[in-house]
Amino acid sequence: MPTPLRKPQPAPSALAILDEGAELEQLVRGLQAGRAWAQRALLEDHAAYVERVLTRILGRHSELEDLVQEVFIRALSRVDQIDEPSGLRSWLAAFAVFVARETLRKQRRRRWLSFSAPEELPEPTAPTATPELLNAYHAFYQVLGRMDVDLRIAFALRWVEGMELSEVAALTDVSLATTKRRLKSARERFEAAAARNPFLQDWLGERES
Amino acid sequence: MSIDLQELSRQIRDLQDSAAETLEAPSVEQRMASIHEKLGRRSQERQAALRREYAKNVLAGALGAAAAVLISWWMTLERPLDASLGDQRLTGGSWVATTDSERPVTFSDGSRLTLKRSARGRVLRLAEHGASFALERGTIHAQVVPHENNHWVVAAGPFEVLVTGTEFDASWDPETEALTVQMQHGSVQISGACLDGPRTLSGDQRGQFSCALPAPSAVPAPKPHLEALAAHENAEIPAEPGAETSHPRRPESVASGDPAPPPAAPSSAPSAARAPGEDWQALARAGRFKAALAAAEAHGFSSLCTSLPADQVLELGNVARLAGNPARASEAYTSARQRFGGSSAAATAAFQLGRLAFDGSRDYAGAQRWFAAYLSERPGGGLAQEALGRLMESEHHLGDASSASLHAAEYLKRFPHGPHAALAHGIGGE
Repeated sequence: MPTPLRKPQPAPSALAILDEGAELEQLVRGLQAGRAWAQRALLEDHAAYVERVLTRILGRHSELEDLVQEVFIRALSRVDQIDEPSGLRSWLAAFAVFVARETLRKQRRRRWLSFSAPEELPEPTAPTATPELLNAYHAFYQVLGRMDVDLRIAFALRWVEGMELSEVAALTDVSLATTKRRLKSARERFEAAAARNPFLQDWLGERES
Repeated sequence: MSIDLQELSRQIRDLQDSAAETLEAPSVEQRMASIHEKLGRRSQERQAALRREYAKNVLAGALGAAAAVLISWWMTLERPLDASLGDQRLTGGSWVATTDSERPVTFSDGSRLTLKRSARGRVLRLAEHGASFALERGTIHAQVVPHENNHWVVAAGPFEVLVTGTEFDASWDPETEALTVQMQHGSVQISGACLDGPRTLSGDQRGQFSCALPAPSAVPAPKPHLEALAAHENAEIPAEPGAETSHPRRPESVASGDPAPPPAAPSSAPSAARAPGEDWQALARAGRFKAALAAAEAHGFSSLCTSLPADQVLELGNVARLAGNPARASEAYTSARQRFGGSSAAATAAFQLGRLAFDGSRDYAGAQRWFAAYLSERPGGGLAQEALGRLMESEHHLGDASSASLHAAEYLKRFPHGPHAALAHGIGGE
């Protein structure tokens, strides 16, 4: 029988962290051995995270599920490259960033070839969203859609997902200095575009000193 | 003027998380099936592309031969290599196959490709400085005499083994789409559509390559005396988890030259070295959970639960769960808890029991107890995020508002963007 229900626990102990490492190591061993249970566990534990990283970069995308699967197809084909089990999540996120970048570039090529307007983003179906927020949401990703792909990815990971600079640098495989440069440039472009956009103007305010 | 980017981003993030909660994601089973189906389709497409390439090569070879004939009117050229199988002369496109015994294809430069038993292939092209041979099934032993400008290719499925002057065994199993190359001396270069780039094997290295899962790997062959020791030990001691997937060379492969077993063909393993319960694990690895469970039942499911090491008992539970037998899954997980109390495996078993109760029987009181047990034993474990989310959800279903709210607050503090964050907000964890 399980032990009785406990109150919420404090921060994990060193022992617990060690156990977490052991579980991850077991998972990675299973993946590298091609075990179905490990592949299933990877999906169970990380599909939502992969979906989130893709959504942060792309916005709600009509082919999101296909993209999530593409990330796992690529990841499962390269499990022999996992050096450090504790880095499994970041390793997976790097595939998500790669797939997102490919998707954005394909979209851009298609748009250029067809001379058509950018694809409409699917409506995010959030019950509590106000129309103002939905408009701002669309405007936000339209502005991102006009940015250079690498600037957009850095911007989305940093601001929408809230990643640390070092994480953004690692996932985009560039130096910290380059990441900072990209973020600065992306922010300047975003602010310039937002100042001209009726749905984003409401968010303009005085710069904090 | 500056935009309040932090606040805007936060609201965008919340909107996306909230929208994600309302969308019904496919089940893990659906995703797994779809991913494997796509992997299989891509592999087939790669093979079809390669076949087209073969056809082009044959055509190019034929055109090249025709051109050579024309040119030979004008100048003296060295002829393409002659190839023969016994008394039978082979040309580009000739099929060769063996049944019970091995047969050598000999070439005029002294090179030999020996087809082992039950092997099949065809000569694709004969050229002045080499030949191309497509291995369709089984093992060949290649002895290529080194010459300047040598260009020998052994093709197998989506892979090509580029040979200069060397000796090696190559095995191709079309069922598992696995290529195994065992070097004896010299070096070869393996390329394939699913490889990042060419891989080189030399010395006594052994490489296994597959465009199907698991991913390509290359490992050095064990030393002969270690192999003999391993063979002796394997006969008595059940293999450690994962040991069978590192594909150590079988000792009898050395003696008889039989093809080494492909990654997912455990049925070809010698019965003397078969550990108890190996069959069910092989079937589980192939994703055939019902068959794996049936195999485990044949071995004695309960006795496996009481004899296997912790991680294999957990795996047995997973097999039963995925085969749709919650009673057997519960038996395995409970056994893991009883036998390995206090271990990481026991905690994982508690989480799995919680999941069985939650997903299977909608027994939210049971689920609450098991998820709480996991969190109690591994508060910072790898499954803590999901356990805490499901604990909160169980309490929510049970109408235990105060506990649900308490755990919702803890969830939001620890995993503010976790998959249960929206529910935690709804429960009032803020």
